[in-house]
Amino acid sequence: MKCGFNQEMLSAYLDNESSSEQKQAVENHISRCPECSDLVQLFRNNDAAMRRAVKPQLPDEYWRDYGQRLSRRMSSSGTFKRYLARYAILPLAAAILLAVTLHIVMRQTDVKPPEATGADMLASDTLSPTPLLVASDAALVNIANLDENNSEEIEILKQALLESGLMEKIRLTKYSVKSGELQMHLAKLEAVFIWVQNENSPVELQALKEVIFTNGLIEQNREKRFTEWR
Amino acid sequence: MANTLSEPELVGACRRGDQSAFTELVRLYQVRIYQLAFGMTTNHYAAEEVSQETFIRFWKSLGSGGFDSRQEVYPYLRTICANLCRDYFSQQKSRKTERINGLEIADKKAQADGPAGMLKQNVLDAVESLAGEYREVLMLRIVEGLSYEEISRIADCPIGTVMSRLFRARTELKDKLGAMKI
Repeated sequence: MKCGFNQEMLSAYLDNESSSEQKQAVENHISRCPECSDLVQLFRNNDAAMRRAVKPQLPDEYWRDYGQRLSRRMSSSGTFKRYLARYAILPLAAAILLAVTLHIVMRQTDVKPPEATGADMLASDTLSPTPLLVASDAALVNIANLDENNSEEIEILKQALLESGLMEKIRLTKYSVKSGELQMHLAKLEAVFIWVQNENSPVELQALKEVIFTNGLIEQNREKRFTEWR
Repeated sequence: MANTLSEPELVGACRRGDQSAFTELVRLYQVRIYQLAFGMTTNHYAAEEVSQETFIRFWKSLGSGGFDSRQEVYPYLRTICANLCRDYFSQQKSRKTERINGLEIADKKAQADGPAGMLKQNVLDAVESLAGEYREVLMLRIVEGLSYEEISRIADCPIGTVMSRLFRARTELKDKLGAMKI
């Protein structure tokens, strides 16, 4: 048989949402009513069980790929691009900005000039892939937001890549890094930039953007950047 | 580097169109937002959809001025997520268009976890059988730890309604779980 106490107050008591008078009344009541005392305890146990049950227990790869899936989704719906075009910087301005960024970053690289041989590069321990990864980050984001129908923008992007010597420096650096994983990553970057260099058709450039997103290249590059930087 | 930036700095970088800053913010809150969406929908696919849509709307609100830079990010995300879950309740359908790496494993894991996994599943089944408005208040109170006043703002109902929904939700949960030892 139910006691006549307003049990809604028990729930509020549990949540610390009772006034001091209500709190006093509940405490007086549950001290002598086993039914309500048990109910408070049961509510408390169920709350804890629910907290445990809803805690996501997903494998690491789920969280690792989460950002990539989100990027793909935003890219396919044009969210990033619309944002950049409307609120951030115009694509053309973005390409110009990339040219400036590459110029500044590449000036700071300690990579040997392109005429160095592969053997020279292997022997050298002065190479640092970090500036290349930073420059690649800017370039990849720029490509991802590229307006493939804007020939002027494409031209500025190509010029920026060529004049910075980024591809050549990546090519040489990839022989000198010890990590096979980083070597592979630099090879991917090189392939992407060569692709940009050689393509003019909107369809191909669109395909390249898809490749960047599908492979999560921006994310990977960013991770490598942080790893190298540390 | 984006990972050394404070939250307001990350927001500022996002406003300038820096996708890596946005990725960093997503990384900071993806688990919490996913958990909220999962608790409210009790469906991994819906949680994936809702949580990702939450971040997309946040990104858009950065540009439209809907998000005030003086605000904290997480409470804003939480409100978007709760609103999307409410939409989900009204539709009660999830688009299972893509098998997502990890979710199948999660399903299998629950089965493989033996008695502990089964117990968890029983609680989830009981939560799932509750009305959406009950799941909402339970999640906001029990998992998010919000006050009744904060819940009333998010759920857009009076404090008295929050209080009675919470009581009814707990009572139903108790009845469904019965004498099960949890």
